[in-house]
Amino acid sequence: MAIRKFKPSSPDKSLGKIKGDIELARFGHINRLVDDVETGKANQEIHTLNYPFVNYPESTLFNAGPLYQYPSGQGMGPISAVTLNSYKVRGILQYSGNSVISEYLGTIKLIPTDELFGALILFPGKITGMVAATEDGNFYDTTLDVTITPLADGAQMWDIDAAVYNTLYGVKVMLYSYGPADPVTGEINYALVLEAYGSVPTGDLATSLISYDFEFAAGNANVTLWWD
Amino acid sequence: MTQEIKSLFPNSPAPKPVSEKVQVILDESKSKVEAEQAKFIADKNS
Repeated sequence: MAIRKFKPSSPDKSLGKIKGDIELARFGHINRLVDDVETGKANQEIHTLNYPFVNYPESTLFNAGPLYQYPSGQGMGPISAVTLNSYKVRGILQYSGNSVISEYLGTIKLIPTDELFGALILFPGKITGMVAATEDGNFYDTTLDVTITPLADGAQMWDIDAAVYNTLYGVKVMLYSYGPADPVTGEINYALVLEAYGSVPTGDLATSLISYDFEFAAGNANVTLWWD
Repeated sequence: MTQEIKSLFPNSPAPKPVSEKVQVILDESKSKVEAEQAKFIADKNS
């Protein structure tokens, strides 16, 4: 997001909201901000995970994507200004199972922040990711080659029992609705589920590491990801 | 089977439990994907 220049105003709405607002800053404080902008840290969100290091991060919600702002106007009825924010759910899944994948990634909760905007609307974004597999499925054997395919039809996971690759089809992310919006808060929830199936139907044990990056946009809403 | 899975990813955290509602969604999802797989195989073999 672009940084706006500072302009004096009276009364100054920016002052007095937080204790210390009217205290003078020193050059060191401002230069720390400059350093963070220069090194990119100012735009880098830090997500503190609530579990010890276990190699792979679970689903995490990011909202560092583009921000679109619509003016208020007339749609099917009067509508207020709309801020459309891009969100991403990212993580790495350690898949071990049979040839039918149906993996819960978390639940997206949307609560409208604007009564006039009314119904919540999800806008499409994109899905990217990769599937990594090694022969014999052992990711800790550094002598083995790693096969990496896009998270899409044609991705390959390793069938450990048959010692062959099994190609994935029907790759998609489903947003399963919890039902109608809460009549008071307008809250809606969607279970996020990654689905795919192997081209060879088998109960064999298959394995792969799947990274996913699911992007969507939502207008005038507080968006959170939670584990239900 | 559980031992086998654990040995593949020894550093994995235990799977987190899900609510009854999510479990119902996952059961239905699994059935749907199994049906899609069966149709895919049938189409391929026809």
